[in-house]
Amino acid sequence: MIEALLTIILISSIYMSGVRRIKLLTGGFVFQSAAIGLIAFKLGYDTGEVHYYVLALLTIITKVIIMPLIINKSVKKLKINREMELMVNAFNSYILTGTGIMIAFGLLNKSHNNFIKTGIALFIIGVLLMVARKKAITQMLGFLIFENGIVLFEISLTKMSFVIEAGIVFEGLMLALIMGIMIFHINKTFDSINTDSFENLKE
Amino acid sequence: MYIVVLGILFLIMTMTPLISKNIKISGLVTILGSISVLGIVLKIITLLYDGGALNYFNEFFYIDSLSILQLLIIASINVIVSIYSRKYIENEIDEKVISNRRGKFYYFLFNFFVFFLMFIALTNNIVAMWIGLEGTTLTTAFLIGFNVNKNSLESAWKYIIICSIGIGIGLIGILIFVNAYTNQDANQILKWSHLVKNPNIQNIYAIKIAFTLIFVGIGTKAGLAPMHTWLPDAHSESPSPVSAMMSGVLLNLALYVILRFYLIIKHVPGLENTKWLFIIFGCASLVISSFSILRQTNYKRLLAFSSVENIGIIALGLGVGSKIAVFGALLHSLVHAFGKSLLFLTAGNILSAYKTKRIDKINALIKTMPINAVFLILGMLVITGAPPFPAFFSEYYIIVGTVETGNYIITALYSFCLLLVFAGFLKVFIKIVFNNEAGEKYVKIEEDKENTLPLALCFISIIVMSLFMNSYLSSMINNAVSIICD
Repeated sequence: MIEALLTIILISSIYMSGVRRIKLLTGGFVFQSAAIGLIAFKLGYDTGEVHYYVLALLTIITKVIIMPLIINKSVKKLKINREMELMVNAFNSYILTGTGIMIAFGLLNKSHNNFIKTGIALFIIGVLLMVARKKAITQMLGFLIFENGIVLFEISLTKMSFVIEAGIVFEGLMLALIMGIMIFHINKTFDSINTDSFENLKE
Repeated sequence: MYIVVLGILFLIMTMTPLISKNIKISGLVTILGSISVLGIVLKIITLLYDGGALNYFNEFFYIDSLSILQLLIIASINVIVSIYSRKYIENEIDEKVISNRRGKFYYFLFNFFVFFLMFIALTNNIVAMWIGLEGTTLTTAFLIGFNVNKNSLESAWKYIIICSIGIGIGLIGILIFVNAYTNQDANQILKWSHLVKNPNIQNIYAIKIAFTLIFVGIGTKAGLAPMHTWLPDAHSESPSPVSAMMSGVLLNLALYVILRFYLIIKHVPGLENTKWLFIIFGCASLVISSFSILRQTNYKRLLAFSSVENIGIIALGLGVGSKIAVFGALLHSLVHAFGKSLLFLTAGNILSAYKTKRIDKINALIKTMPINAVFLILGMLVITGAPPFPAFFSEYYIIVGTVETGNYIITALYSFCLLLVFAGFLKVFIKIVFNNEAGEKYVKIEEDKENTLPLALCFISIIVMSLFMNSYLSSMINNAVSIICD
């Protein structure tokens, strides 16, 4: 069950790395976060510990319901459909994510903890989206994927108290929200959300 | 008891801008609140005069001599900056640069920012320290983009992207770090005071990876080169009081969090080489910033690069690790906080009078704004380490430390970079203050007298610091040094 869900996470992240339409990207993100939420539920069911349930609930509420709503709303308002020119094209992005996953699984092939391997793959893909895309909204989605990787790490590594765990998830959400608000400001001031137009500040 | 009072004070300070409609009330409450916070911190200092530590709430809050130094910096700079902010925000509203509502938003964010800073310095839980650092990212993102123009939004976006990746890497490091201590009590595992007393680590290799990730991740927030690229933009585009607060306090505090992790693993056999992380990153910051200082055309960017340089000096001192060098590093973090605030606030005054950040547009400041010109020169002498001021002693102690441990190449590199910085600063500030363009008449600007009280307070604190060096202050720093070195 958990292996199948981890596979869904990996496949969705490969899919997201090459897609241009922001709606499809958001769809992939919803799938991924739902899979993470279900993993946390399953772990909670198996071990009977409350904090897994809390994490699952928080992930599903914030990342499956609230964040996609906000992103879809802003996509409609800002009238952006797709990423026009990619800094790294779709083909190369697929190859990069593929190598990233291979590196993550190859380096840690002695460890039996699949969560960590998947988490590292998600970090690589998230950072790739943040670096190789021009639209600010895609960069924000990249950050959210990175955040999902952190949640996987949290699930597998330690038991933290409920307040601390909630704090980490809540601050991730707040940061994404702030990015969303800033995207609106950027759109108002620059008339686009292409980060190409960021060229005023140089040495 | 003290923690509860501090919590209530911050609750009042953050809620007032949301409730009251009058901007003046928010400003006054912020000033009064910051003064009471300083009072409480001074009271705690007297409790900890002989060393030792205080615990509150089941060891969630833990105060020792090291955190006392950080608390002192935060509380005193907070007082100075809130006094400055009142006039600054009123001016901006009068000139219709910002609306009344945005002014209140400023106070809300600013107080929240200070709350997170205090939280980092007070807490004992290592993940809570991370939460505090992330909180400072949340609050300062809007403060940097406060003027909502092209430059400030660009720098704020850069800041968010770089620092969120950095701090995410830091969290990964912390999670791996905690995991390397597996079979221990789950209630105790996140407490710093517990970890530092129980160095029985399961997996040395994991700890090595974890500490490197923590150093690089949180070092991004501390502005160590080569992760400093967000810093010059963010510090030069944010409102001057915020730049003062960020470069004086926030950078220090991020380094303090790294130091806490370093203290845990310092005595573990097999991990002695971690001190080279501090030394190498410190030297890289020194070299990169000192060469950048020489070719700046914007005086706020110049000050921002100087912050990178000073953080490099502090990191180098901590890495060298002999008692005198650590003493110098801690003293330098104290002096740098006051000196850099003095310079940034003076720069803010000049900016609001001249409306330009370019060095070549400002001439003969001694005739147009004599009071600010004097403070500018004094601040420059403090920050570059000219003899009567305490920065001279702190930088000298670090040189002595490097010679004592036999790292002669580092001594040479360090002294060379300090010389370069001194030359760069002298060139720019002598030009700004004394340069007379032929055929131009310089008239005194009326705004010169405004907002000089916080500058005077900064300078008086530096003087007080150098007078009390031998008695009170040095015993305080010595207690902190004994935590780091023993």
